[in-house]
Amino acid sequence: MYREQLMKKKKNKIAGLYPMCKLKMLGMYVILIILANIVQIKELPLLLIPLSLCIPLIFVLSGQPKDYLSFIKMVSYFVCFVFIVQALLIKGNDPVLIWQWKFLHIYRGGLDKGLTLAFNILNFAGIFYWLFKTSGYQEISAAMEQSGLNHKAAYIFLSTFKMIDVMRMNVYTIMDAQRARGVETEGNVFVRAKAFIPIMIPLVVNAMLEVGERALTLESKAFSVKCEKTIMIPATHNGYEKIALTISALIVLCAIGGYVLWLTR
Amino acid sequence: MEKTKRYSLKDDFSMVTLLTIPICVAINVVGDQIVQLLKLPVFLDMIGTVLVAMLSGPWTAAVTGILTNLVMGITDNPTLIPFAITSAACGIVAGIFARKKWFSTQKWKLVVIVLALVLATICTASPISIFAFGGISGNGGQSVAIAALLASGTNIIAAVVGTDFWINLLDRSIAIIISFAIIKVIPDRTLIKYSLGANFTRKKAE
Amino acid sequence: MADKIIELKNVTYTYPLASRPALKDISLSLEEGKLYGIIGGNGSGKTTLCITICGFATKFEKGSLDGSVLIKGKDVEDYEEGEVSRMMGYVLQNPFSQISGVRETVLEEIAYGLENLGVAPEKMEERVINIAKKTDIEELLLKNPYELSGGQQQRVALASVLVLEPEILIIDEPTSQLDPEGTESIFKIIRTLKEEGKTVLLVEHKIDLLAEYADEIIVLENGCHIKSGPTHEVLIQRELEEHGIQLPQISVIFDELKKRGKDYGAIPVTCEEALKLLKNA
Repeated sequence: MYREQLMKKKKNKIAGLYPMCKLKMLGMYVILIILANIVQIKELPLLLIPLSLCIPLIFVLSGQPKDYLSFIKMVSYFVCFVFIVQALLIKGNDPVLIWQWKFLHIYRGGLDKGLTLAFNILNFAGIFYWLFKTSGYQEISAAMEQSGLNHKAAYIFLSTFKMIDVMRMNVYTIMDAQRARGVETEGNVFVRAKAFIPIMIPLVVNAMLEVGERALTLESKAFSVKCEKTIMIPATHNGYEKIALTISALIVLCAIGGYVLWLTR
Repeated sequence: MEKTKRYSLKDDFSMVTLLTIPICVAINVVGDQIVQLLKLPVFLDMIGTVLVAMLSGPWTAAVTGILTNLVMGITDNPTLIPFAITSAACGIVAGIFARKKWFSTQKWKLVVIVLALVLATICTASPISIFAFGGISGNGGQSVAIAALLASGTNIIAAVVGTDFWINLLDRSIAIIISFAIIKVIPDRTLIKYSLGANFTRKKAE
Repeated sequence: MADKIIELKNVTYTYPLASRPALKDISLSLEEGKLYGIIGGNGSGKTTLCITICGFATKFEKGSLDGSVLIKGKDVEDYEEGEVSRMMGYVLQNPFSQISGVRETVLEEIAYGLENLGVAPEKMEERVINIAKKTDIEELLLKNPYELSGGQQQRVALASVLVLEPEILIIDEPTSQLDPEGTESIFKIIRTLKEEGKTVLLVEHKIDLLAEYADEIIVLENGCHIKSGPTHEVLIQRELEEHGIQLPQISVIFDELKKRGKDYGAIPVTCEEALKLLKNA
């Protein structure tokens, strides 16, 4: 009864797809990105722009539009910066001036470079982010284990995320404790830098000291028994995998068809 | 008695190491968080990698490095993922020096290690940031510096390599100093469980 | 005569880099189906004894071991990797470091060992729920193990070893984070284990409870095995107090009474026995 409760699939049919199926879809999306890079309109990879708009569409279809917003918040500053620097500073081999305002110039070479970099980042990072936001870490790890990943590797993968959570919480506890003991955490750069060590060292050493005991625990929980391992809450298929893969494959085929038409135009 | 002690991967990836890799990845990620909390102008996302390299050699350090960038890529900033190669390279370099027992109190050896780490970083990170991101990396200060250099007409490769050199020189030196400080506090009984831990125990085994 | 399930022959164990051994020339033989209480002051080698019996002392701590530890007549070092953990369950002192750190709910946390043994997922739930009922944590099953209190974590730690149904259980201070009521309930669980025929080694400071539940007592001091025998014989020996061992209050009182001429025929170690003696007198 508990198990059924935990194995309940997400309501959204796309978000609930089997992680490995999503990985295949990600691979197909990468093909689309590559095609969009090759096809040049007005000697610019303009197709990357509409393609990058597919990412929010995919997030919305997966029922998680909020995650797209957090993704955009994360990368927008960086992407804009890359674009502006490239567009304004690079001239290319034979400079063709496209736009000019006072001392600012945009040449075609720079625009090309800027567009390519900025929208490739949006596309690649976006689709990866989608994979990890629509499947939980435990689900991904379970799926990988079911596809033959060593259970020790799966342990490292999952335990890393947990450890980060635990240590993040400990940082605040230790910081408060050290402040109470008179360690300055505000002031000029050197004062703040000095605070780094009394926070870092207890944090790390506490965690390291537990390693010995945790090894004993895992050993007594049969971690190194050599046998087929099972997973109580396995990653499961929700039944829509074939449809999803077929649709994705059709889109990719159409895109390739379009590309061939463009080549022979 | 053992006649010759040969390093084996199985030794490096013992149960204890297996449990230390997640901690060291967390050190890298959380180190970055502390830097942000204290508003320090460095990134310090390599302390854990250096630490695990010192304790159990190049391969575990490479795993730690790759995992760090993957995790930060997933949770923080996806553009960090390509730099997993850099973290792995630095882990391998630090691990090789650790096996040769160069992590000692002799200062010139440490200087050599820092320079080797910086070299490994530049050889891997600069090409990535030039080809994938046009010279811009996740570090804000460096990006502004590169933009300024580019604006003043400096060649992009010179700009990236030049700024990478100074920033990483500082960053890697701090990483090594802090890793040493951490190892000094870890008790002998814990150190001895790692394949290279005996190099750092206060009491030496006969 | 019950079978000897664990035998230690002249075991001396030294931690790496340590100048003195943590266990000195210990010989013990433990019988199947009994509950052994291990007592001694801090640093007397109780935990070291536990990990030595599990075979962890050489495998993880990398210390040097002289003598031999036999489990069911076979040297613990000769078992294949992981095989010992099929027979033996070890519950550590610190509950926090016993959380596997890879599972989101207490249910899965307890099932983690079963997953490692390759038990079919459909069968796991029943076993986990049974153990959870036994250890009184059924209402916690869907919670995150990191968000529990120390006492709850201690119960989860115990449950996640019990669910594997090992023949031998080594339990290191299972009640350090529990209130008196919780302690009593853990001891009741331990007693049912004994009734199921399991061999239990229990490190515990609460001497009155050991007096009530343990069959035999093993006393350690500075790594040496100074005394062992049936609970009733060991816990009335006043000279143990000189070694820093606290005896049950009740046996001290009756011993003092005996010295003052009030002999009740025997010296009890638990309140129940004392009451019986007083009624008969």
